[in-house]
Amino acid sequence: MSIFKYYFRIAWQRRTALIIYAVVFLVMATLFSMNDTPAGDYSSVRVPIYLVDESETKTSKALVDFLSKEAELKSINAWQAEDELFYGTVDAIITIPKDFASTRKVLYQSAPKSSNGFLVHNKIEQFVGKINFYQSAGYTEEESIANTLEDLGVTVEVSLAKKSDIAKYRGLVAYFNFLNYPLLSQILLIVSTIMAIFNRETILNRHSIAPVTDAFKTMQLFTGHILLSLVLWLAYSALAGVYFKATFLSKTHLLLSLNSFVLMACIVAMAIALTKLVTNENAIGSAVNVIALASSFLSGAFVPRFLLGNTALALGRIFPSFYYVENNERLLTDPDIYAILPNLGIMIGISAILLILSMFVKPKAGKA
Amino acid sequence: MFKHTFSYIIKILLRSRQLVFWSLVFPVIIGLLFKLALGNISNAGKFEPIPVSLSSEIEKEGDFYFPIFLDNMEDEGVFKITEAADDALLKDKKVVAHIISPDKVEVNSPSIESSIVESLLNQYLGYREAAIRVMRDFPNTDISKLLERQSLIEDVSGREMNMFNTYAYTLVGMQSLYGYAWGLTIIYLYQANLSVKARRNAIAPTKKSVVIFAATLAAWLMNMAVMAVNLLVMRFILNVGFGDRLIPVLGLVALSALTGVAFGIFLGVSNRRPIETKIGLGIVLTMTMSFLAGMMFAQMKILIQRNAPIINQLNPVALVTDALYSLYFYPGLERYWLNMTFLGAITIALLAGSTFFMERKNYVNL
Repeated sequence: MSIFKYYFRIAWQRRTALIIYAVVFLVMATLFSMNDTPAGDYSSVRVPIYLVDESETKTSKALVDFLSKEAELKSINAWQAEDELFYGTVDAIITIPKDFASTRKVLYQSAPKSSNGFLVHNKIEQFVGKINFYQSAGYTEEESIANTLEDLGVTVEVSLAKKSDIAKYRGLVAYFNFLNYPLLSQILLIVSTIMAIFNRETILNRHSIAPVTDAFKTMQLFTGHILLSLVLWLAYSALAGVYFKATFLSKTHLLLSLNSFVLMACIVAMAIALTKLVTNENAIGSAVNVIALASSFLSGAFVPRFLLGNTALALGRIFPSFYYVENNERLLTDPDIYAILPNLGIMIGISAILLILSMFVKPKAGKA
Repeated sequence: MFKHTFSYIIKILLRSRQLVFWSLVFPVIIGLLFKLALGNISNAGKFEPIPVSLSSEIEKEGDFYFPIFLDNMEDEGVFKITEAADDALLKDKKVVAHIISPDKVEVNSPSIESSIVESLLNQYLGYREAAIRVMRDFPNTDISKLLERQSLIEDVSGREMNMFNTYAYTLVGMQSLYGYAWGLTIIYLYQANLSVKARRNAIAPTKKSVVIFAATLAAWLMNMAVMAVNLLVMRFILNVGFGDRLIPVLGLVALSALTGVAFGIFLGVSNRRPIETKIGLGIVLTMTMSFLAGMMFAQMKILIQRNAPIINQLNPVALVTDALYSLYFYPGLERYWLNMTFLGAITIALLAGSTFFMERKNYVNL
């Protein structure tokens, strides 16, 4: 079992790369876990905004109070606000100018034709418009504010057509979607690097005179691939349990884990096929990056699918990640094994094809 | 000697097809992927008329003004209304909300569209209450005059925001740092403790500082050239906006290309790990810096800016991204120069560190 033993020694030498990919994922996982909100009844979306009150009148203060309940006020530096708007971390910049008392006009900045901006716009109109309405009718400023606040208590009753757990599992699904990237990068990188080392001309020559059958050598390497991938998958599955305690061991969580397990098996098959095509050790890192990034972007692991164009979605279908992400999204609305079986079948089919193909391709011996 | 070394290094680097491929073609491939994956990003979240179904029983409610309000909403392109006997359209996800009565609505899930529907209906209910109150307290008031819409909000939004640009900017930053491969290659030709070729070069009767300077210059030019090609691809094929200030963009390309090469030289001379490890480390560090600059999740740069801005100031990819963003978005150059200053300081630190590791080395044996 010397190959098997040496396998993990090489993997250990490559730990820096593994750790860095894991740290990147940990950062993302922490962000996703902040989205671990309990399921409940309907609640209105609170849009993040940046608000400045330069006027500080009774009406402007009442507007600030109102918006702090209806939207999510971000406390950021003024100079950062425009960047936050550009990057979409705030949806609108609202300035209540000094002359607000006389002009009754609020300055508003948002991305052009933004839905989120529209909502904020409407909330401001609702409040300031109503105060103007009362003041024009003859009420004082204080009375107008009090009446407006009283009117805000009259609200439409919003009910959900079907109780949904979507909000509860959104963070978890985002976690599993992004998991595609570290699993791909780490398994592809380690398996292909190790295989490239074992395919070095000098090592191949040494192995060819060793008193061990080819089948036993392949078996040792294959066991190494599976074991290493399993360790990574188990670590990320355990991490999902830590980050998403509320949903741990729920049916959705278990099915998401099963889906990621099949993806892991598929990535091992991809890695074995890759080592037959790319034997140059220096090219492996770049090849892994191209595959991992292409696969993650085109499958919708990084960005939601509605942002992807038809060409991107059509191209994405060549990657197993596409079916993996599709299953994750299906599990969000339909946590049933039958909902994901067809795509699991496709992933297993792709793995089988890759393994069969790699049996017929003999790698070119690489130079150390 | 300088000219000789310079021309030979250029030839060596050009002949390294793998280097040229991964410094030039890899970022172009990723750029195309970005375009495919994020081409629609600027249209995402744009307001479209919200499809709603309206209960056919609504007229029985006896609220005379509500259908007028809904007609106005449809005329203004806010709602797209379909009459329906029940909530079947909602359950089939053909509409966002099913309006049962002015104060009762059914939705599929909390979303921005359903929140807009809720907010508009609240606005209607609020004005209904207000009208009743005014009629009670001031019976002679002309309500229709009070309801005349006035502009309460002055839209001071700036130029069109295209998030795709920010992803492309991180790619320029990533490519500049990928120049580490050029730096690593040249240093393996001249630092005696790194390779056999370097040992041969070390005993040649040439001044080490001159050849290393010539080699660095060649690597820098190569990195600048591939970055310039990628920038042209981005501008004219991928339609990425860089603003209209060409000279500052070129200045940034020149400095960031040098940062990449300096990073490679530093990676090469600062430790005795095998070259494969250094290559791997270079890729992983570049990808990590690109991730932190927002290459996989654009908002990451902003989250870091909010919570630990020092990371962005020490991350060359984030500095390049921010410098390009500032050239595109802001009329002034203050922020650009701030980024250039930090990038320059990092480059100087990397070159000084490399010099420290390279200078006055005597080897007992090699």
